[in-house]
Amino acid sequence: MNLTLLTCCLAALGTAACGGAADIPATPDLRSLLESYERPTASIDAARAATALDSVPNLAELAAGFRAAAYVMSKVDVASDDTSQSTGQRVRLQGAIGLALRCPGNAADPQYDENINGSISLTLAVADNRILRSFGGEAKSCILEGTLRGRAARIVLDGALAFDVGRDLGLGQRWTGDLLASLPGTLRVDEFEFRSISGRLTDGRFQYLLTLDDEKTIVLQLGDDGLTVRDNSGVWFCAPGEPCASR
Amino acid sequence: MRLAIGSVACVVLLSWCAGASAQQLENPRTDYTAYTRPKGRAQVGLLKTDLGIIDEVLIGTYPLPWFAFPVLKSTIPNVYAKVRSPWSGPLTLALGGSFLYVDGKAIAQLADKSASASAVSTTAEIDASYRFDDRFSLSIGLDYARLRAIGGKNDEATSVEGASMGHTYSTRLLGEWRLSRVFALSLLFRYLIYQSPYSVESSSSDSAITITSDLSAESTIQKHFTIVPGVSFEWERWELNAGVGYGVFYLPALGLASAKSWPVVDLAFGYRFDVYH
Repeated sequence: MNLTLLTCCLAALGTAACGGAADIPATPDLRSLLESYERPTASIDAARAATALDSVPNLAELAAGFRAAAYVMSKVDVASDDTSQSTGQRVRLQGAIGLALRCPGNAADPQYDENINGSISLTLAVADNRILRSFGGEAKSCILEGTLRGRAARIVLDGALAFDVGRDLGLGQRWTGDLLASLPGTLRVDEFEFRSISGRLTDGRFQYLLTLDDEKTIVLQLGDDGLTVRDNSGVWFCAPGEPCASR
Repeated sequence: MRLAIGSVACVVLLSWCAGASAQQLENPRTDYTAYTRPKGRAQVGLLKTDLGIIDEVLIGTYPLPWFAFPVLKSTIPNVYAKVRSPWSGPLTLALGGSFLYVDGKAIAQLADKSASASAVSTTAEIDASYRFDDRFSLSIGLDYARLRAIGGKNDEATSVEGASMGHTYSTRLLGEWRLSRVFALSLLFRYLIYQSPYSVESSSSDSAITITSDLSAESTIQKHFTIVPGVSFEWERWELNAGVGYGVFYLPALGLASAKSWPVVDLAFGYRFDVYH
């Protein structure tokens, strides 16, 4: 038998015999971004911490935008619950789950119409019965309602999205804890527009990675206990109207 | 005492069998072998019914699924066929296949009421049988089974009944040792070569979200071996093949294999008659 033909036959047989497992889609790699949040590279003093804070005047708006964007996680939970019904003991699931979210707009009177309030599409990767920790997608003029200083704020997401939830999620398991989001597109919070930014929610606090003029990084953190700045050596607490103090 | 009774029963059985006037060479076992029925000969049973169209071609069906209506609110049509080599001699080769269709009503009945899907099962087999002498024959076969189900659901839940597809490759060896014209011992050995992960494609939707899944599921504890010792009786009109063993269980007609090992019962019983010559 012709060797090429034999090889083709064997390859075809191999494909038929080994095929069937669903492809696990590629996921966005946010490890270096996460590492930047975990280990900022700059070493600053109190004055520079204050200057850094002044360079980000709309941190509260940014935090409101990211907290609203965490809306997608409630839908990831829905998908996780939904898919868990397809599995059972001693069954291994893998593949992809696609989510097409219709954004609600006004939370009190949601209108799930993508022509009115836009949409978000996400692709989740599943391996060994777990949703992999990072996933990506795209927002199309997605309108959400956030909370800014105790009042409702209009949040609009547009463009590519990438998330990392800190750990793989078992099917049927709810998301809790961290959410790192990278938004290469735009995030609008009321009249403020942010472009190509990232943010992280952890333990109820919002973190923002700021790159300084020398390309080194610090992390600003906004929580119930106020505003802090973290560099590579420690944390600065910055109370309103007072100089930053090292903790 | 038990041994004595058993021995006597065995001798009586064998004597009776030896005295019977069946024509086992004209009516070879067709399960797990390359043999077919002679032209015009039919066998009717609850589990299998078939007819030799010509000496080399057999067609048949599994009757039980046809009568599944009271349980599944739908019937399950199915057919199988086998074509054997035309030559005479100790070696016989055959190709076979089957087709089975399950419509959405039956699957909804098996799953939850809101499911809608249909399933198509196809199987193929290659058989080779070698008759060493009048008493002993050996058959080897390779089986392929494919199940494809397509459907969708509009409610919130999704599950494997949404749509699935998978295929199974297995091989088998059957030895039959005929002790008399009527009675034979058999040993069936099966090995599951590969069972593919089953693709689970589903879609569910509510006002806020549409979820589409393209997943595959596979067992993490897949077993492979089955062994079934059995007996067969070939009377003039009736035939009975029965075996009890242990191992991977293959769903009748579908050919799909269980992941776990189970006690396995292999049974075929039917009445044989000539429809035409």
